[in-house]
Amino acid sequence: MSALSTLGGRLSRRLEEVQISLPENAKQGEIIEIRALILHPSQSEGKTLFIEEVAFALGGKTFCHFDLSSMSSANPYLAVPLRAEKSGMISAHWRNNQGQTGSGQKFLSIAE
Amino acid sequence: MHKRDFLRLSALGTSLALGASLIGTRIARAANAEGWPAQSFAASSVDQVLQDLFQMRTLTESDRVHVLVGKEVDDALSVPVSVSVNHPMTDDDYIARIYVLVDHNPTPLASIFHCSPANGKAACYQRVKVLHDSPLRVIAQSNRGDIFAAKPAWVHVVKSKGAAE
Repeated sequence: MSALSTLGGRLSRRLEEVQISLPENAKQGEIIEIRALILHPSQSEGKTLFIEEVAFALGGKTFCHFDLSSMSSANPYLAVPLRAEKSGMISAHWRNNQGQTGSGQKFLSIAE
Repeated sequence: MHKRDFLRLSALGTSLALGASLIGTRIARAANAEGWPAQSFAASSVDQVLQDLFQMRTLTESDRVHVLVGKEVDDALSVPVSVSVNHPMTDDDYIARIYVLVDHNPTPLASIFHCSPANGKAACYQRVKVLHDSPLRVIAQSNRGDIFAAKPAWVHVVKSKGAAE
């Protein structure tokens, strides 16, 4: 029981979290892949709960975004390309259909 | 994609789906924000979606749009879809949107990916629900309005939605 509640606590702390993966050795001009995992449920029946929008930004400037429906999976795992021109903070922001939001970020280092 | 990640995360997802009530109550702004195409997402048939998005119901197929999706999938609630479009991404000619539709879902339109020349190429990866055996369609649209539709890919769900939950 205590093991279960520990696991429960760990999972609830991780809800809404955004984990971003970037390549470690990106070169200038290279097209890299940015991955984001958002821990968020997706309920398509009854009281719906799902992420409607996820936007990716570099240095605060959005360069692509997804509009999603309740037919997108729980815990959205998304990958997008980016032409790596400069180092900067990569961020992913989400908003769900109840107006809640969350975000995560990770620094992208480009070798020049 | 890393297969190991995928397997680990889908197991985690099953536990998390039960924890919806744990989500906080922080409200930043109203739901259905401006820009989110509520009407297209509300459409319950593919014909309706296509009519709403493109003002036509039949699209010419193009081999420019490459779609990677399993022909047989185990988990109806998490089907990986990888898309790439063979098209320039220059400032005056680029793919602006990539639509993913699952014909037999109650809400056929699963997602719209909005991209820009900064992406460098027109591609995206995501996971969608395929609740019943269904064609999966991917349609790309350029900033000039050109429409490229992949040949629909048939997805067979080995376990039903009930079995997956």
